[in-house]
Amino acid sequence: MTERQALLGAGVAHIALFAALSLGWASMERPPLFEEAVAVELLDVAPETRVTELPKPSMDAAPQETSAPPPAPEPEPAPPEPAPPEPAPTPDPVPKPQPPKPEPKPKPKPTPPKVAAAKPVPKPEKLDLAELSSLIDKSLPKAPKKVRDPQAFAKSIEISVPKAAKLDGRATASLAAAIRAQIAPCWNPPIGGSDVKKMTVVLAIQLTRDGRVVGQPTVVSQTGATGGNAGYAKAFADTAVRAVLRCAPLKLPADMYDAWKAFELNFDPSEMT
Amino acid sequence: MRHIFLAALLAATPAAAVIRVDINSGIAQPLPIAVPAFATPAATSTAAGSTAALGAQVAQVIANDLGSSGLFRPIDPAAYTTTVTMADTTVPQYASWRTVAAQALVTGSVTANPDGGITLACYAYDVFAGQELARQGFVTTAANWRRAAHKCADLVYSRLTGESGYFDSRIVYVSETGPKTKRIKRLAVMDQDGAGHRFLTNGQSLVLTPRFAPNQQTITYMSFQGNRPRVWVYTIGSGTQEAVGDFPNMSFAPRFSPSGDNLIFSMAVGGNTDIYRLDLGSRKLTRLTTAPGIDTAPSYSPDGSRIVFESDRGGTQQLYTMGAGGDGQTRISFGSGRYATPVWSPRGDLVAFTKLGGGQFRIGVMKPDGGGERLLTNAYQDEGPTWSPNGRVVLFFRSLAGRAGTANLYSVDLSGQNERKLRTPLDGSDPAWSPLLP
Amino acid sequence: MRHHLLNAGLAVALIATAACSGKKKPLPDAPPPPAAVGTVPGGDTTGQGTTGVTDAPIGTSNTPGGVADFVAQSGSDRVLFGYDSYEIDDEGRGILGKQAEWLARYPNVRVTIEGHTDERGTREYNLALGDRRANAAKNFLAAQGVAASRITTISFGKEKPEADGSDDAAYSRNRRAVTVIASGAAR
Repeated sequence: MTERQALLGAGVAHIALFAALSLGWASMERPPLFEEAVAVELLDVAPETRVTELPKPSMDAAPQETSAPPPAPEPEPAPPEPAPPEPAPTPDPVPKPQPPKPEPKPKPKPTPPKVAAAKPVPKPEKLDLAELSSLIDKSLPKAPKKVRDPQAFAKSIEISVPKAAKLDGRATASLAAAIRAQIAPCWNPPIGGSDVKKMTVVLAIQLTRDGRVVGQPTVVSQTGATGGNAGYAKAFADTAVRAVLRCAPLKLPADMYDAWKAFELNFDPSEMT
Repeated sequence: MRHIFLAALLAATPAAAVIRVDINSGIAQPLPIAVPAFATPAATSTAAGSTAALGAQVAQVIANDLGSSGLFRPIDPAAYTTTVTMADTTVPQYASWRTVAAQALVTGSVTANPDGGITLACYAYDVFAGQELARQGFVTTAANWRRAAHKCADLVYSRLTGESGYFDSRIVYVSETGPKTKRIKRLAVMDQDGAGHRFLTNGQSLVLTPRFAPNQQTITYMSFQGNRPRVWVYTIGSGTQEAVGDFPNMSFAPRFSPSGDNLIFSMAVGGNTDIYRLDLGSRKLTRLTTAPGIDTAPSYSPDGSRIVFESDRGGTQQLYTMGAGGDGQTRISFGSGRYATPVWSPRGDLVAFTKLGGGQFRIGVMKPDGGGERLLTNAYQDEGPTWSPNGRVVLFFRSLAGRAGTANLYSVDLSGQNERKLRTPLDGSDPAWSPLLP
Repeated sequence: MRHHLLNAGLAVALIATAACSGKKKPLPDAPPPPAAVGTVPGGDTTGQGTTGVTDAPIGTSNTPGGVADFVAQSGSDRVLFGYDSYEIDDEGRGILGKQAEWLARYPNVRVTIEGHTDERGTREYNLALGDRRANAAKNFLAAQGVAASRITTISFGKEKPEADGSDDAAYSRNRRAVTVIASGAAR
């Protein structure tokens, strides 16, 4: 005990010292001292390995003396006859009823790997419109095969965006696909968390014309956060923010800037395996 | 896939509406993290070596902890483009760490205190956001530096994963050596990362199934000392051992209650095995099960209100739950094969077990109501799961078939990934993970 | 009330025997020890990896009333069991019947029945299963007239296999209840 007290005392004393030291080398913008330093207590392992005490009787605890004595179903069969002279094949010696023991031998089911790592989607170096258009074609199988010519595609956007940020559904879808294709490979969701399947977070992002993030992405809303998982909710939102920052600057069609200068991302891992 | 477009289409309302894009997939991979050697304001000699040397060792311990979780990938220090000065610990050179693709950074310092102790400062940063995530200082004796390092690793783990850490914890297990027919077993305890290994018993008595008390300083186990197989308690600090009761029958499979006030264990009376609770204060013994058959391997729920155990009352080993007083005994396992050694997760949401079938033992988990069964391992004999303090990792022992039949400790995470063999001086079985140390 | 199976002196003898050759039978010569608790000078009497009876050939020293005589007259010191079973089969009944007959002739002999299992069960379940087997054998002997007070049981579960393989032959040898003379045998 005295050692521990001394340790704690020293701890308190040196929090102050540490704070003083910290001030010496800290920069101006961040107070480096801790609100409190944690004293890590020393947990001793006995230096000697030894059986020092003999077992204590503590007969109080013996079952027969308690309110709930073991029933001792020990069937002490009364000695029937004094020592049979001949070990005559005894008729029914099995002392206890034998519960049936069927032993099913099922074939071991192979453990399916529970966390299939998502296929790495290479972050596109640059976005070209032909690729964008092909993405649309793949994702909307019913859509008639469309132009792959960038100029033509751009033209189609011009047509559908005559003046301002008014995109039609397909153009919006293509933009969404382009954003998603760049963000998803950078998102490392905390899949081990117990609440991960129930949690989503929406970030608001503003981009410059060259695709850089203005300031920091901000959390617009979050679902699945409860009083009990605040730490996890914070870590979860951080992974979304990190995904955006890691993958910025985004490469998006310049002529659609009005449509992507500000947008929202809804991070939802519920369908990830 | 389709959802993205649906959402995007819905969001594509006319005019100035902001589009919203669903991100439903990602790449789950270990987070690249840099843990450069901790700085020191002045290299000072301590009982554990110079603070400069300690700074490097602390970083190694932290990197090893984080890497072992499978959730982090410590970046090889050889790739670092900078070292960390005292000033850098609080104002990191983010650009330099971005160049080595670190997404998170741990910095810190080791300072010698006038009393011979040390102060370990620990900071975690998000490299891409350029933000501090967490900081904490730890004051301890120089000899205790590893625990301070583990606490720093726990801080980083918890801030980045949102779950509590588990690195500042211990493992008690049964160290094994010798041939299968004459195996010598000893209780041993070690830090979660294998450091500080100590034997607690000398191997003269067969010892089995140790479990920590909630105070981490007491261990209950079964010993054949004196050829009387009984439940014992070992006090780590003093090295003392004592039998908890002079029961006339074999007592075994002991576990502490979450409060530490009770032990539950099995007692075999004339071939019938039931579960009993011993109040360690009053020494009152209460019988909790009465069914004919083998009722054993009890485990309390973390709130102490319920007990999961195994019983062959229905013909084969299956899992059951009951109230802490023995009320409401209900079978929860219904899959094919036999189920044994249930252990309630410290998070309360799962029960880990050993499943027997097809000539194999495998480790699995299910919900306490029996739903959601998943198997995590696949080998000849994987037995005896125990949970990490945060309920995210399961430790067990794996025995090999054949004449050697050696057993070793393994861990696997809840997803069935990141299976790792723990290094122990000899072979090992019957692991039990402590709660987080104070 | 159970008794100590072995006193310290016997344990030393056992360990020494095992260490010397592993071929001689321990010849317990001590009276039944008092049932005191915790009298374990030297710390421990459970030599790990050493069970009460070795694989000694039968008949090396056939003193009537001796350990070797017990095994010889009974045909075996053990009975074997099926997987996850504690039912004593016909062969086992024959052996235990002869053991009971021998024990009737030497009423001062006390025995301990050790219950064992193969490795195909979990540790704690197997301790209970070994206890079932030992008690099945004990109850059989008692039914044959051997006073139950002369018989103690102990289970080692799967901790002390006799055969070290992981095959049916080894498993079947390991599923056993062994009658070990604890005291009262002639030298």
